[in-house]
Amino acid sequence: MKEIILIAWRNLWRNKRRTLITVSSIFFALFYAILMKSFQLGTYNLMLDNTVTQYTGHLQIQDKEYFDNPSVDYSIPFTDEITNILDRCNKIEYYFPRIQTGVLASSGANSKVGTVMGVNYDIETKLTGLNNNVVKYYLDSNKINSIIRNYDVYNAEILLQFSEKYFNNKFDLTKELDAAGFDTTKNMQQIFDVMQMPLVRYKKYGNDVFIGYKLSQYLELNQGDSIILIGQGFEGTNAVGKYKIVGLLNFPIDQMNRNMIYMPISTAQEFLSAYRVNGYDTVYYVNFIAINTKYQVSMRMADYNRLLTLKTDLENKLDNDMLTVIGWRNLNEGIIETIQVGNSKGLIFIFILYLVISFGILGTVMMLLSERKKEFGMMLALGMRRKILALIISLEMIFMTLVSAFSVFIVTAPILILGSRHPYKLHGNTAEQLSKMNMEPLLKFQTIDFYILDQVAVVLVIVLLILIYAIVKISKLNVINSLKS
Amino acid sequence: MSIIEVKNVNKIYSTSEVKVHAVRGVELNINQGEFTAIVGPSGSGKTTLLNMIGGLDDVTDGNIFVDGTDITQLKDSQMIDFRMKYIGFVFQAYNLIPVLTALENVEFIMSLQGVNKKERRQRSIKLLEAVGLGDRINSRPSRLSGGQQQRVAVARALASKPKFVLADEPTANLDSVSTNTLLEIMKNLNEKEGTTFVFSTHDSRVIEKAKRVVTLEDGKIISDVTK
Repeated sequence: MKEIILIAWRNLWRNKRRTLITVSSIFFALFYAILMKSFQLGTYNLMLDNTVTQYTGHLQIQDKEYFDNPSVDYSIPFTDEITNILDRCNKIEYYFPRIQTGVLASSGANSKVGTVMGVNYDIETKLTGLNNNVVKYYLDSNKINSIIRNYDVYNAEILLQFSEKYFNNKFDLTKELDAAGFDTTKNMQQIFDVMQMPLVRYKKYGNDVFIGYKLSQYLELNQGDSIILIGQGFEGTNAVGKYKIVGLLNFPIDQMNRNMIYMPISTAQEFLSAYRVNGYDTVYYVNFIAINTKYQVSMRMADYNRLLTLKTDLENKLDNDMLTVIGWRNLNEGIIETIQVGNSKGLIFIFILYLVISFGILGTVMMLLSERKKEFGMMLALGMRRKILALIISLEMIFMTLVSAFSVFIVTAPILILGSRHPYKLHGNTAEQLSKMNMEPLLKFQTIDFYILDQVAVVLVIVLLILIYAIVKISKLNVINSLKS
Repeated sequence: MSIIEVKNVNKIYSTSEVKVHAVRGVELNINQGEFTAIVGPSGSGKTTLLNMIGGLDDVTDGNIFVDGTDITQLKDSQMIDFRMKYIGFVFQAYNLIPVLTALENVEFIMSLQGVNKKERRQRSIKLLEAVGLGDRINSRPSRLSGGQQQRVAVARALASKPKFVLADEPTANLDSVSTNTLLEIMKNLNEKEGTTFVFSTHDSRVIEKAKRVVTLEDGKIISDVTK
């Protein structure tokens, strides 16, 4: 066997150029496939993780009717009994009650449909980094003009393109201006000073609200203005309220900028009359309680099945016919569908790529068989069995695949590790387009995982299938014809 | 004692248009220790006859016995094993494995036979020394001259301790010095070791050295002379 491996390995370097071309073609196919898959998995996992961890939770306790009919009427009481059960469960990391309902937001003659999100600001800040979404810089066109008038701004026309735009921090503002070609070595301090929004310190139980900046634009409202909200309250009551806007929110997802209205959960409960008075006690209601567990959010069914065990356990402990516990897969069917469609599209791309590579490998095998026909004839004449001959060719092709796979691993590993630990934030048009598709404009790679082996396995299977051709050819090889060739 | 018995062997190559009768009713016995040359003009059937004796080509009709075994009845895989054990080959174009050194080429056939590493190393070195290449054992074929490559091919043919060696025009690509050296080596091996050699050739220098000369014409043996 050692001799067979030696011959196969040395054969690999007989025609260095051809081997390098074949290895390179496999290398680039694997490189592209791994990076694409990594980017796809990284982005999907980020989207899934963000949505599940920050909004829906891994599990949700709801009224049995709420999933099919998400009305405030199917709210659930947020009682000590429930919190005690959740507090005692060591698989739960934290839980956050939420009220989420559709309203009509108005100001003057303008009205627009919005979504009220009743949250605990402390948990929200920890969970979603809500404070990072608060607009800190608003590039009002009047203020831009005043800067241009008062300071010697070199490329004023670029600055003017940023009129009426909102930014959450200095970094994003500088990066966007820089990307547009503005000289960010000058005038930035003046821009920061003039464009800065007043510092917001929101109150945990106050009646103030934050609204998405696009909603504020539509309603022609700004920080400090009042917004009127009209909706359907709990048990048929009218929900009407007037709230002060303490801040504007700029989310990476466009849809949220258009309709979100954040308020403390207690304010939302008052707004919707989501409580019942029993004698001297008042029980407050929430739409659902989102629960984040210690389990990882992933598309792997094995991970999800562990979560389902916890779900059953919680349902048993709650022991309430009116309540149900729902897993994140059911809560995010849209995202899962998007991921599945994306995966299918990715598969088509990779299939085409591998198809092209397959023909390249087949070409190599055909050339190799043709070039060494005489040598094969000689080996058969000397007494080498056909299966050993086929084994030599198979080993050569497998070595080529492994050399390619190893090289790809060496090259991609640092990219994947870096890209997964430090997602690259996209700016400009690409970011805007992704935001409109309700995706966070982040370029994130999945770290080194089994999906790399999957790609290598696919190439190996292709090679093995092509080797069937080689084996058939060798089995039919005529010694005399080969020796004469 | 006959090591090769060719009995009324015919070989017809058929194409869609013509049939070529390459070998016609050949009867031939070759004994152990012979140094036989099969001669004849181009197209006389000498290479075809040699290929059939070596089991590389099928007979159309007749039988060939090698050491008592009718090789015309063997299946492809049995024939491959048979060749490995009983027959050594020297080809006109040397046909060494280009990625192996001279030593590894000689060892190669023994590794197919399952001979242990120590034994095959010793025997290969001995054989290469016998053909005058003791100092080139680690050279690859591309670093050897044509004559040297053919000498490695002779050493390889003898490595498996075959019953006989078939050499198809072994000197056709060699200059006169290399031809003489190769013939001396084979002659010595024949005389000292008793190795049986069967050549196909039309090289007069080879014919001169042969102990027996079988002449073919139009696929038939027209003379069989033992010197």
